[in-house]
Amino acid sequence: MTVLHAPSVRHRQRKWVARWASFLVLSLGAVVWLTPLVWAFSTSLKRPIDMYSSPPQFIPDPIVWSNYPEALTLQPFARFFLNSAFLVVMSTSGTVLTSAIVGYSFARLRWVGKNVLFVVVLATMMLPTQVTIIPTFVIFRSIGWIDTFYPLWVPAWLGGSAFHIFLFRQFFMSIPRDLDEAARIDGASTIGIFWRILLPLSRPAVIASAIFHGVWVWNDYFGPLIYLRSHEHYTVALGLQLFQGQHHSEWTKLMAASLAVAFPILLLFLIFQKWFLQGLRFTGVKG
Amino acid sequence: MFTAFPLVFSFGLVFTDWDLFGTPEFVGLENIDRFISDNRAHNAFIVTTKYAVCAVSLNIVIGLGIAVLLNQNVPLAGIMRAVYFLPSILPAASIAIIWRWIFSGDYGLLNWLLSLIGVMGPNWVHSRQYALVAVIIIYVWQLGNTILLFISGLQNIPGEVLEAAEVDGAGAWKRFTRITIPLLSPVILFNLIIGIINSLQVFTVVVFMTGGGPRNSTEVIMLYLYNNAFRSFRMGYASTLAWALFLYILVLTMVAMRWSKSWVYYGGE
Repeated sequence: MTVLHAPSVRHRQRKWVARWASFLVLSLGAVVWLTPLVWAFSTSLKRPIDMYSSPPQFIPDPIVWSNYPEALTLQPFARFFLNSAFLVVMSTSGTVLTSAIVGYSFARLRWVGKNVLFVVVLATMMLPTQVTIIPTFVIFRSIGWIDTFYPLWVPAWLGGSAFHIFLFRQFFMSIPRDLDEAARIDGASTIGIFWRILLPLSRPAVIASAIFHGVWVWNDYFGPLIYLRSHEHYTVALGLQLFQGQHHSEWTKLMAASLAVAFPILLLFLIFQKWFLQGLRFTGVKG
Repeated sequence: MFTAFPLVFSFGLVFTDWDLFGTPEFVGLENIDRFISDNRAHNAFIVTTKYAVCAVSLNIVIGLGIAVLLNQNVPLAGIMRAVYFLPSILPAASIAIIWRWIFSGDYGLLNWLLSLIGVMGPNWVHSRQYALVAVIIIYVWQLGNTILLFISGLQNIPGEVLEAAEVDGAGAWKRFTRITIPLLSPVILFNLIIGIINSLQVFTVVVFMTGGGPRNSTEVIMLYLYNNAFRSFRMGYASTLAWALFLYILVLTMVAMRWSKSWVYYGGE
């Protein structure tokens, strides 16, 4: 017995060492990974003269919280936050709803050319956005939508987006069809089945889809850059650019503004961490 | 409908000269000729390629390393995962400004850290040599999604296979190279292709960090395209650049797929 016993102890010891060595390396890495954000936060609470001190001052003294309200009023950030929030709500609700409907149609309904069209939808996922930017811009310009919010949220209501359609289709496919049939026997319509049965059961897909899209809209810079002109329409990303342009080396306030813009995403991440870290599974991307 | 029309329209624009205000004028292959002799466009493709190759390969290698360590059942694994993931979802605009401060020549944190080990740091974003390196570092920092995909791939590797190899006397490194890597190769390929597609279209971080400078050393394709379309209003030439970029992405993706046949292992076959 002792012959068998010996390697198992050594094995367990080796596992233990591997585990703690990994932990050590990962902890050091985590410090490196967090440093930029922590350093930005520290800078955002300093007086301008303290930001150049050498050696660097890690804990600000004194702590200047007023950098935040000052930075956010140097440019009308309240307005930028509202604009971004408006776009997030409009675009996300549109994408989630229409993608769910289209995904439902692909998952459950029978119609001619469905499979072909599904392939087409998947193909648009690989489609070059850079190639469609100019024509899309020209179309929106010809209907007078430049410097309005419409180009940034109306398309979300016209058929959803391929990634989200795929996500919903995959999720609906995993719900047993018996449920639909039972509901149909009870007199539910096609729309009723979708609205009362499948959608409530798909809460995880709805949340994942809303989070992915919402974060994307909040962070988007290219879309607003192309379509929005006047400052009162600016989103947070454009606001940051404006701010950086005019207060190029006021680092304390630049850090405050940058972190304030990132803050809603950080908050969302802390609340919905599990969805961020597992969300991709729904798409069936298992690798 | 919504995609077919812009595609045809965009392709048509390649053969025109159009400033967005007048009527498009047919110019035949002039835009393509111009692209072939446009040094600034060539520079943009070279810069973008350098960026993509370095950023994607570092992202995958470091991401794989972190994922393997995270998968060792370490303490606080959840928090660790969150820390490494977080940078990849924050707004690119914020991130670029925060890093511009880290990279600041005289008072930046990075150069101070370098000075501790006796290295005189460059003036990162104002240096023709190092500005691109700075942009690459940011891409590598944002490896959250890469890690997530690797972790779910690692969790699909049956533990028995690794244990059997261990019983047969295979060391940790051998198990990693002979079992983990081959079984993970489809995920590596997936990350590689996503990486190629994303990195070749880099835009926001460059705009906020360097604006393409100094002296075009970080002028990536999307930035040159944007300037042509929306600053100089050369819609025809910008469309030509867009198609060139698209074809370039397509070719590189296909090369990666072809190359992958020699190293990707699909369990089902």
